[in-house]
Amino acid sequence: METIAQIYTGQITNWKEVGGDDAEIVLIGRESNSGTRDGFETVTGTADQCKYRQELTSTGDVITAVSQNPGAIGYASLASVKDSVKALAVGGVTPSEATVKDGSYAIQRPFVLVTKTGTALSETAQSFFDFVTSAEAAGIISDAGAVPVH
Amino acid sequence: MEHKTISGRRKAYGGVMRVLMLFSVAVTCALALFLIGYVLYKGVPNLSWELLSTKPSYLSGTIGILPDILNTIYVVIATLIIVLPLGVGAAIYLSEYAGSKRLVAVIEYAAETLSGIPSIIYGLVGMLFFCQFLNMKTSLLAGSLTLVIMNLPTVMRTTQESLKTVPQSYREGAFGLGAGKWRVVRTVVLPGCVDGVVTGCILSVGRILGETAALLYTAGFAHALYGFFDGLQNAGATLTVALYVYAKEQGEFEVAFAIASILMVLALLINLAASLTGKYFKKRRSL
Amino acid sequence: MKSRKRLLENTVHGIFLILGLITVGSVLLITVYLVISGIPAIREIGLVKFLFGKTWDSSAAEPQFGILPFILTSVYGTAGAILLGVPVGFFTAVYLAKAAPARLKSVVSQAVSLLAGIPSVVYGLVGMLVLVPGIRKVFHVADGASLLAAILVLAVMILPSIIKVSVTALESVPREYEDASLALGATPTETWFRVSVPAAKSGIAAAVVLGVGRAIGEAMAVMMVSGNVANMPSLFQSVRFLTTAVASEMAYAGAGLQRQALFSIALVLYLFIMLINATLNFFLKRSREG
Repeated sequence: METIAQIYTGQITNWKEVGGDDAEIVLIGRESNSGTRDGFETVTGTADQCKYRQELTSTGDVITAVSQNPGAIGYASLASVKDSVKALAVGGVTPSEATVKDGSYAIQRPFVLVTKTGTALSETAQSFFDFVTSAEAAGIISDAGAVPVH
Repeated sequence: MEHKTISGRRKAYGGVMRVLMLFSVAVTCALALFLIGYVLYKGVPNLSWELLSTKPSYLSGTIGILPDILNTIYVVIATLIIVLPLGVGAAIYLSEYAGSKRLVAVIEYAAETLSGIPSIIYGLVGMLFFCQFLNMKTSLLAGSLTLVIMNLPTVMRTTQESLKTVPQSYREGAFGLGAGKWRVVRTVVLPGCVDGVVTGCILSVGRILGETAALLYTAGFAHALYGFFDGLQNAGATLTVALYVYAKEQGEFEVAFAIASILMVLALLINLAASLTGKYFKKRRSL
Repeated sequence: MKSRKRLLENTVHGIFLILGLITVGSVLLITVYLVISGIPAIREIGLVKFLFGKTWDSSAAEPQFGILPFILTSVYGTAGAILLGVPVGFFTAVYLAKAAPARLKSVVSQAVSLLAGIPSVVYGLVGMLVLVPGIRKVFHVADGASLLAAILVLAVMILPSIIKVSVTALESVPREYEDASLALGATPTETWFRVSVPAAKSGIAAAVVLGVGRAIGEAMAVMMVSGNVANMPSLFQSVRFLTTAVASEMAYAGAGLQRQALFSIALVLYLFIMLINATLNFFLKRSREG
C-alpha cells in the first residue's frame, strides 16, 4: 500500500525503482470531485497530494488510458476491469469478489444508498431497497462485476 | 509579335506555389481518406441487426443502440417542428415586414452571435434554463429546445437567402392587384422560399446529428425505449451522445466505432441530399 | 371590411415581429444567465486572483480557483490549430477554386464536405486511439495525451470550414479581375495569388474567424485527447482548456463555490469569444472599407 502511495505522490517516478523496466511512471486518475478518486485517496492516505499525469472523467476512460500505455498505472472500479489491463495485488491480495467481501483486499469502499432521515421510504423506494439487498439481486450484481451485499 | 519568356524568378514563384497547393490538397485528402477508412474499418464489422434493434441490458448481456436511434429521430423531429416556424417567421419579418434598418441590424447581429457560441455553453445555459428554471428536468424536450436556439440562425439565413431570390416584381404585381401584405406573403413569397427552408432543414439535421455537448447536459444519456411523447419527457441519449459515452465512459470501442460508421454514412446521405436539392431548386428557378 | 383586414395585417405583422425578436431574446437570455451564474464566484474569489491565479485545485482542503492555466491553454491551443490549419486550408482552397481539374475538384469537395459533417466525438475517438499513442511513440514521451494532440485534432477539425468558406469567397471574385491580370501578362499562378486572393480577402478572413471560433469552443474532441490536468500549457504536457474545465467537473460539482466557479469559467469563455468576434469583425470591416 505504501508503495502505491509513494508512486502516486510522486516520490517514486520510475518503474525500475520498484523492480520493473526503466520507464517513467504515468499516473492516471479521476477528476477532483470523483467518488472513486476520493475513495482511493482516502484509503491510500494521499488526499490532495497526488501528482496526476491525466485526470479523466470516468472509470472506463482510466482503463482505456492505462491499457494503451505500458508505463501507466491507474485506479478503477473492479466492475469495469477488463482483460486489457492487469489488476494489481495490494499487500499480496488480488482483488476479487471474495477478497473484497471479506475485507482482505484493502482498497475498497462501500456503495451506499442514501435516504432522507425522519421520513419513511415510499413503497417503490422500499421495494427497490429490498430488491437490491436481496439474494436475487446478488446474482445480477455479480454478473455486472460489482460485489453484492450477500 | 514579341514573345516574352517568363523570368526565372517568376517561374520559381509559380513552382513553389504549385507545390504548396498540391501538398495541402494531398494532406487534406489523406486525412479524409484515413478518417473515413479507419472508422469504417473498425466500425462496419461490428454492425449487426442485433446491435441496431435491441437495447442495452445487463440482464441479457447485450448492447443495442435502438433507443439511441429512436432518441435521435425524436430529437430531430421535435427540433425541426419548432425551429422551422420560428426561423422562417423571423426571416420573413426581416425581409418583408421590417421597418427600421436598425432593428434589422440588431436582429441579424443577434443571429450571428448565436451561431458563434460554442455548444458547451448552450449545454450549460440550456441546463440552467430549461432543465432547472423551467423545470423540464433532464429530457429530450429540453435538449430539443436548446437545439432550436442553436439552429435558428441557420434556418433564418437560408430562408433569407431564398427570399431574396423571389423577384420584387412578383410582390409588386400582387400588391397592384389589391392583395394585402399577409396575402402576398402567404401566396407569393412563402412558396418562393421553399428551397431555402429545405436547405435549412437539411443543414440543421446535420448539425443536430453531430451535436454532443449541448445534449449531454440537457438530455442526459439514458437508454430506455419510449414512444415519441414519453420519450420527449424523459432523458435519453442520441447516437452521438451514446458514442461519446460508450467510448469514453465505458471503453466499449466496438460499439462506438459502429455508431461512428452509421453517423458517417448519415453525414454522407445528408451531403447528398443537400447537393441534390440544391441542384433541383436551381433548375426549377431557371425554368 | 377594411378595418378587419387592417386588424389581420397588424396581428400578422406583430407575430412576425415577435418571431424576429426571438433571436435577440435568446442572446439576452444566454448573456443574462451566464452573468448571473458566473458573477457570484468571481466576487468571492476576487477577479484578479481568478483570472490570473496559476493554480486550480477545486477540491483541496483549501481550494484554489486560478484559471490562468485554462485561459493560456485555450489561447495557445487555438493559436496552434490556426497556425497548422489555415495554411493547409488556404492552399487547398486556392487549388480547389482555381487550379483543380473539374473531376478532381468535385471528388475533393465531397471529401471536404464529408469531413465537415463528421461529429466532433468521432475525431476525438480516432484521436484517442491513434494520435495519442502515436505521439507517445514518435516523440518518446511518457504519455501522448497532451496539448500537441489537441492542437492536431483541432487543426483537422477546422480545416473543412476554412476550406469551404475560402472556396466560396475565391469563386466569387469577378472573372474580369482575373482576365485582366492574365491579359497583362501574369501567369495563372500569379493571378490567383496576387489578384484573386486579395480580392477575396474578407471572405478568407471570415473563414479564419470561423476557424478560431470553432477551435476555442471545442470541448468534446479535445477532452478525449488532452489529459485534463490543470497545468500551465506546454506542448507535451497534459492540459485543460476553458471548455474542458467546465465539462470535466460539471458532472460531480457540489453546490457550492466549486460549481459557481465553473459557471464563471463559462462566463469568461463567453466573453472571450465575444471579444474575439468583435475584434476580428472590426478589422474585417476596416479592410472592406479600405
